[in-house]
Amino acid sequence: MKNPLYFVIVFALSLAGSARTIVSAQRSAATPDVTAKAVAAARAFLATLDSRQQAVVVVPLNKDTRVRWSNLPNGAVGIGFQRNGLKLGDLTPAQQQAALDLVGAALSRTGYQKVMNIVNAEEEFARSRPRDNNPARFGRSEYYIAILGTPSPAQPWMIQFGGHHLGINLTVVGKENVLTPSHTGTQPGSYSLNGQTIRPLGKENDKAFALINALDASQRKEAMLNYQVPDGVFGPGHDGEIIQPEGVRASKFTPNQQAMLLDLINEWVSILNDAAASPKMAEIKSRLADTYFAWSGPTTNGSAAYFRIQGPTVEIEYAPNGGTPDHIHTFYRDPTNDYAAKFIKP
Amino acid sequence: MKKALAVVSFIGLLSAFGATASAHRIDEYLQAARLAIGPDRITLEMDLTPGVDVAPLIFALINTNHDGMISEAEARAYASQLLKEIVLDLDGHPQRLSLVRAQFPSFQEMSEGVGTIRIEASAVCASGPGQHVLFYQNNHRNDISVYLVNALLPASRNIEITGQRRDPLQRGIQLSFTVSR
Repeated sequence: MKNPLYFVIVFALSLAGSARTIVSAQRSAATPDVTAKAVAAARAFLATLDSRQQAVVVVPLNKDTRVRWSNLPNGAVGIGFQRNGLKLGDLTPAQQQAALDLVGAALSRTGYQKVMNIVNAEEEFARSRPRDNNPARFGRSEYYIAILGTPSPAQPWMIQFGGHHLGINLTVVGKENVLTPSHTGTQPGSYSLNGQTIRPLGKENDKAFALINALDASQRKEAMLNYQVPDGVFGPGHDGEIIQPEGVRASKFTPNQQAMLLDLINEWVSILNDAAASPKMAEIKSRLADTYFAWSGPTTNGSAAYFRIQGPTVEIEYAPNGGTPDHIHTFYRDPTNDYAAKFIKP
Repeated sequence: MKKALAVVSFIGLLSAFGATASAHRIDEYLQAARLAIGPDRITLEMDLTPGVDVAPLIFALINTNHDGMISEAEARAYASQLLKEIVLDLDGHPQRLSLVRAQFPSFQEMSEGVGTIRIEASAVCASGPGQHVLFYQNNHRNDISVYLVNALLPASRNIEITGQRRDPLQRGIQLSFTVSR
C-alpha cells in the first residue's frame, strides 16, 4: 500500500512535467500534423511499460471497447464493468509522467488544464468525503489511461483517459482528431489548491448564465424548458440517439448572442488540440442557425441550472446533480461523428 | 437448455452494454424514457435507476420470491406491471405496449445506486398521412420517482415532430407530429 503522500508528490511532479508537454503541444498546433506528435507520445508512453503492462494498456479498437467509459467512480460502475487500460495508481512516477504527456500532447493547453483541474477536484473529494462502506474508489490514482488500436499516423486508433467525472475519448484517424463523445464533470464545483480557487467548469457555468441573461424576454421564453431535468440525456450508453431539439434557435440570436453561444461551445471543443478544434468550431459555426439553446432552472448565477446545446454537429449538456451547483456532469457529442464515425469505415 | 437460452435473451447482461447510469442517485428512482415514432409503431425505451436508499424497495418489488435473484418470470412480471402503468394514446386512442426485451442488474449494482433496469416495448399503430398527437404518461411509483422523457428524432423523413409539451416533472409528454405520406 503506497502512502497517499506518494501520489500527491507524484502528481505535483506530473503537473510540472506536463507543463513542458503543454508548451510543445501548443507549438505543434501551428503545424499541420498533431497526429504525429500524439503517435510519438503514445509510443514513448508504451516504451516505459513492461510487456505485461503493454498487454493491458493496449486494447483492440472496436465498437465494444470504445464505448467503455463512464462518469461513475471505479468500483461503483457495476459488476463486470472495467475501464480500459491501466490506472495511474498502478504506474511508476515515470510511467505516470509519460501517460500524462500523451494526454497533454493530444489536448490543448487549456484542455489539459481543465482535465487536471477535474482530477484534482476528485482528489479533494476523496480527501473530504466521510469514510463509509461504499465500494466505490475515489481519487487521482483511479484514473485510467488506455490506447485502443495501434498508434499510427494513418490508421484509426484512440486514446482514453478517464475516471470519476472524466471521460476523454479521442479518436485519431490520420490527420483527423475527434473528441466526441467526451465527458467532463466535477465535485466539488470549487476548491482551493496552492492558495488558488479552482473552478474546473467555472467558465462553462459563467458563460452560460451570461448568455441566458443576455437574451431578451421573447428569446428567453423560447429557451426556457418548463420542466425540471433531473439528469443528463447524452451520457454513456446513449450512442447514436438524437433527441428532438428544444429551446431557442440561434438563428434568432443577435450577432453578439451568437458569439456568446460559440464562446460557450468552445469550452468543450477547445479541450482538443488547437489544430483540430479550429475546424470543428468552424463547422459548428457554419450550422449555428440550426443550433438550439435550452435552459431549465433559475437564471441567477450560482444557482443549479441545466442547459443543453443541440445542433447538427454538436450536442452539449450541463447537468447539475442532486439540485446543487457543486456537483456537475457535462457531456459533449457530435451526432454525426462520435468515435470519428465519419472517418472510419464500418 | 432451451429455458436457459430464453433467460439470456430476455434478461440481458447489463455489463455487456457498458454503464448507462449517469447520476449517483440516493433517494430517488430515476425513470428515463425515450419515445421513437415510426411509420407503423411507437417504440418506448426506458432506463430505470433506483437510488441507494430506494433500491431495496424496488428490488423487493421485482424479487417476489425473496431468493435474492431475479428470475425470468420475475423480470417479465415487473416489466409487465410497469407497462400497465404507462399511458400511451395516439390521437386519443389507447395503445397497447408489448414488451420487447428487458435487462436487469444485480441487487448489488442496484444497492450502489448504479444498477439500471432497461426496458424496451413497442405499440403497433400505423399513423396515416396528416397530423397526429401522441400522449405518454408514466404512473409507475410516482411517490419516489424523478423522470426524464424525450422523443427521438424520427428515423423516417416522412415523420416530423412539430411540438412537444411536458408536465413540470417530466412524467408525461404530448407530441404533435405530421406524417407526409
